[in-house]
Amino acid sequence: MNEPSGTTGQDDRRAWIAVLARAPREQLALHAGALVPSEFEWLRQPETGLAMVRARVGNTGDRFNLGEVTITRCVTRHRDASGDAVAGVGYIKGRDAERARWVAMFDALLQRPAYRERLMRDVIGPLRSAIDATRAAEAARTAASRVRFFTLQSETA
Amino acid sequence: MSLALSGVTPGFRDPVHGAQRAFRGVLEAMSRPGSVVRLGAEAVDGLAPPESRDPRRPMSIATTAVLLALLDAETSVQLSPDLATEAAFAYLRFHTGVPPAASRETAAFSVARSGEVDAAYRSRLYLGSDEVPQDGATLVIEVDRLGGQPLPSERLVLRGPGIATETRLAVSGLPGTFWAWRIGLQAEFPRGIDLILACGDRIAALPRTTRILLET
Repeated sequence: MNEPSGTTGQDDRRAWIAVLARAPREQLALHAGALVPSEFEWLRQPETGLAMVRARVGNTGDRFNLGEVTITRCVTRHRDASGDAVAGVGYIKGRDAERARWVAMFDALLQRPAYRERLMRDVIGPLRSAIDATRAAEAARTAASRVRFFTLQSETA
Repeated sequence: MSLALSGVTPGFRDPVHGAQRAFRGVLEAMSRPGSVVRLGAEAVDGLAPPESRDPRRPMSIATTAVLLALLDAETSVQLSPDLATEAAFAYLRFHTGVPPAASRETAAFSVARSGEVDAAYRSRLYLGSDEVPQDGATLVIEVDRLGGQPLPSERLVLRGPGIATETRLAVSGLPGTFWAWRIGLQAEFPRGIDLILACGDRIAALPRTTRILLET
């Protein structure tokens, strides 16, 4: 569903969308204050639905359905003064329509070279740090209660 | 298939109610053949039809609304040469999930401008079979004028289910050979095609059960 967007690779875009989708609501809301809603036209209003998450046993075995996850998605279009349009997509876990809108609007702007550098520095950077910090804190909390099991070989064997 | 998402224009402002309103319009038109139905504001406001080959004449609002309401991933659509732009396929695909039909013979919906429905075009429409006549195509035609005071040459007299005795409809842009073909199809019943005529934000329907007489 994507389109090549100038000099930005698919991977860059995938990375910033991943950051936006995982960003905590309060943090994203902070940055979203600077967005101008009137510049955006909604091709697909936020809609909530289910997607099946599939996994593999032990990451290599048979595929199975892990469960369904609630997803909200939307698509917006940003037009600049010259009439040139880019489309931004927002997919988030859960049913927070406003958050999905923010993700889509940022995605559209990030595809514009004029905004990209500033947004990467002022928005994506801090959000990524916030996500990393949350993850690190969780990992540390889990690590504290970690138990290592050793299986001893029987000496007579 | 790659989809130029940034070229897609907005569909119904409110997808659920817009589609319901447009569907209601089609139902109204189909149940009273020959009556001209104006699609409500809910179906039309905010709708930005995709471009056709002629930059001054995009797909009409009524055609777009009808297609958005009726198409989904399990149907198929074929667009006539004038309407078959990248933008139009991308638009329908994005808003409804419809796959483009491989050929007109297999398309559930066929959409054309009135000038394009020539003998070659008509001969490739699927009429359904006697066992599954409902598979017959639905043909949507954009006409130049619909309803109002008819010129003598454009008046159809309609009879059949949904019409008390008989009714008249003015349609311009479709040649006499088209109507002769449509009248010829009446002998094939229950096979046949269902016809939706679109003009601006108005539609009229001529389902296959309607018998047509050309008034001379």
